[in-house]
Amino acid sequence: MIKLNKGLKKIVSEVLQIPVPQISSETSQDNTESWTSVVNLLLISEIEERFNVEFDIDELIKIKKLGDIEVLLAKRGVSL
Amino acid sequence: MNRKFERIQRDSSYIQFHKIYHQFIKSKELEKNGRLKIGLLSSFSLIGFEECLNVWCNKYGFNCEIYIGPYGQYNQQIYNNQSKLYKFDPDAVFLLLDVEHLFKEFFKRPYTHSAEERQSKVRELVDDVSNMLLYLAERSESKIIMNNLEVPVYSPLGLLENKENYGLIKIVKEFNTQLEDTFRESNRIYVFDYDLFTSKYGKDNCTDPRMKYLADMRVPKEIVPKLCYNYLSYLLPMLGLNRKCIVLDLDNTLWGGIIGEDEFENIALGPDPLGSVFVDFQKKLLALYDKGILLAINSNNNLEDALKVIKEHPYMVLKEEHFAGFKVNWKSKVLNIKEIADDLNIGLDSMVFIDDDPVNREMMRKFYPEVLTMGLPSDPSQYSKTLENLIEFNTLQLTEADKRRGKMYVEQRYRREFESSVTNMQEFLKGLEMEIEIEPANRFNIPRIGQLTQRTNQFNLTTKRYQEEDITKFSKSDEYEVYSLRLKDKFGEYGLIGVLILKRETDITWTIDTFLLSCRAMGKNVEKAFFTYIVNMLEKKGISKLRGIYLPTNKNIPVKNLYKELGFTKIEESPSRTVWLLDCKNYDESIAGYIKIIE
Repeated sequence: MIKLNKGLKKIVSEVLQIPVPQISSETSQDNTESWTSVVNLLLISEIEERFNVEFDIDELIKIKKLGDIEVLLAKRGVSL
Repeated sequence: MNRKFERIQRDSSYIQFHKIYHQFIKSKELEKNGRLKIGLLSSFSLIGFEECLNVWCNKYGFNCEIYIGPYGQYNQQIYNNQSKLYKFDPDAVFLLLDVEHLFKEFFKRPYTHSAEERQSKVRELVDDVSNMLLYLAERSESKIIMNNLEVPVYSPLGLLENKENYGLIKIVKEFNTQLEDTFRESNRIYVFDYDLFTSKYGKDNCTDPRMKYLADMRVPKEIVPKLCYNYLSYLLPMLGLNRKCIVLDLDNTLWGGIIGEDEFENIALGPDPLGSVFVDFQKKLLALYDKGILLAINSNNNLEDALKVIKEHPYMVLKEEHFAGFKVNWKSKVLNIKEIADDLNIGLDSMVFIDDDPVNREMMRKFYPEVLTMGLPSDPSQYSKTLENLIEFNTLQLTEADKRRGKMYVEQRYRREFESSVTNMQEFLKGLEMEIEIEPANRFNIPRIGQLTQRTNQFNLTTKRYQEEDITKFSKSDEYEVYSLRLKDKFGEYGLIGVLILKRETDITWTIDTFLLSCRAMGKNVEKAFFTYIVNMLEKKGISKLRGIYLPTNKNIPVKNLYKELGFTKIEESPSRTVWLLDCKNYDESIAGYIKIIE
């Protein structure tokens, strides 16, 4: 379980170019400079690809922080 | 090729580009040799392009600076002369438009318009886009590359789509065709076949509706690196990074098996499954030869064994006459390839090495990293595909001379062999049975004339560089005469290798504005025969005096005394130029010698 969570953080770290320890459920577009709206799309599609899931467009527009993505993943049966 | 970027391959995923970009490029560990400025304009958002293009350029050893126009404002960027695009002064501009944006109503409800309306809409759009591209071409020096439109896979008419004249799918295809036709002759504006590109990767993979509605992103992130790789193929020839010669091993590369060990009859080459793999691979190589790529052999074998297959095997596609270089011996392949490069007078950095043996490949990579050593899969049925995927053979222009290049280098090899068989220079030159043909500039030879003024350095009296348009202007003017020279000998054609441009000063005195000869025609007295013809022709026109000017450069020292040799008198000398004068009636025609002039 912890491993997958690490997996998510690893992706976020790679895409947003920030160290893993700085990443939490509260990491958001507001408090992370590199998480621009452009990078947001890349981040989401990277997460989708690694966990083999696909989010709906109405879910995507509501994503504000990493916690939102964790909830979506849990909904898809990905245990974090 | 930069080692830091080794992990990046043709099929690398977007995230790898993203990581490398932030690791090396953002941190300014940049390649210093060469820098291209690339502009990107689009009707939609271009996400991921900056990272991918940057990484590709750096992987190929040069650096780039990228300007992405503001979202959707390609029109303003082009039509406003003060725009950031023009301030950026790009070397290349890529333009990406999407079909919905361009066709608007005609895309959404095509069949509320008549077939005639749809047809004229296509013409109108092609005209609009062409005018825009021409406007950009006129106001910048850059190469312009426009994506064609992705042909839709859906029509509301369904299976009846092509029963309708000028239906939705047809109008998009027609747009693409007409756009290509418009710029077929241009060497500034190129149409990138984006529709074909999406077919290669699958049109379903080339759209992501969520990304489209969220961000108007029309090229999904996994496709962006692949598209940028295709864009790279336009950039490489701009920097002269394209490859000109393929150096091939024989055993298990051109045929299956080892000729020194297997019987002649037992090598794999012919109509059976394994044999046709090699026949097809040879055909692919021959097609590249036909567009001007040189082929050479670099093999460790007994020469007789190898020649027997090449000359006598019934299914051998490539023959001796296709190889510009031929090294079959027991020397190191590293030594051989250097000798081939020297013989052909081309750099190792324009060569591709193909060998099935990983040890040879590793050795080549180690000794000559500038040679592109092709990573060959262990399965020979993949050879052809691997070759097809190389973008390094792309050029931005293909003249008739380029297409003949492969043949000319082979003829040059035969000449070298003939030269070493005769005892003196005179005998060699006579034995060549040279013939020259002189003709004024016309629309067929003007591109080549322009190209020669751009490229010729050694035998070039004034080193004036001209564009095609300049030559066209001269050829139409009464103030100028432009002559071209073709040469052939018993081994084959050299093609168009000489140019002489005359400029009128007075009725009886003309000045030689340009006098040049391609380096492969030097040392054969061809210039003298050429000049004799010109003098005779001028006398008939009542022109009796010729002024010749020599402008010294670092490269054109070989022709420093040419005018003296041709019988001119020096009338002015300074470090920056020497001026010579010839009274045509004093010209000694006998210096032309044994070269036949064809009228």
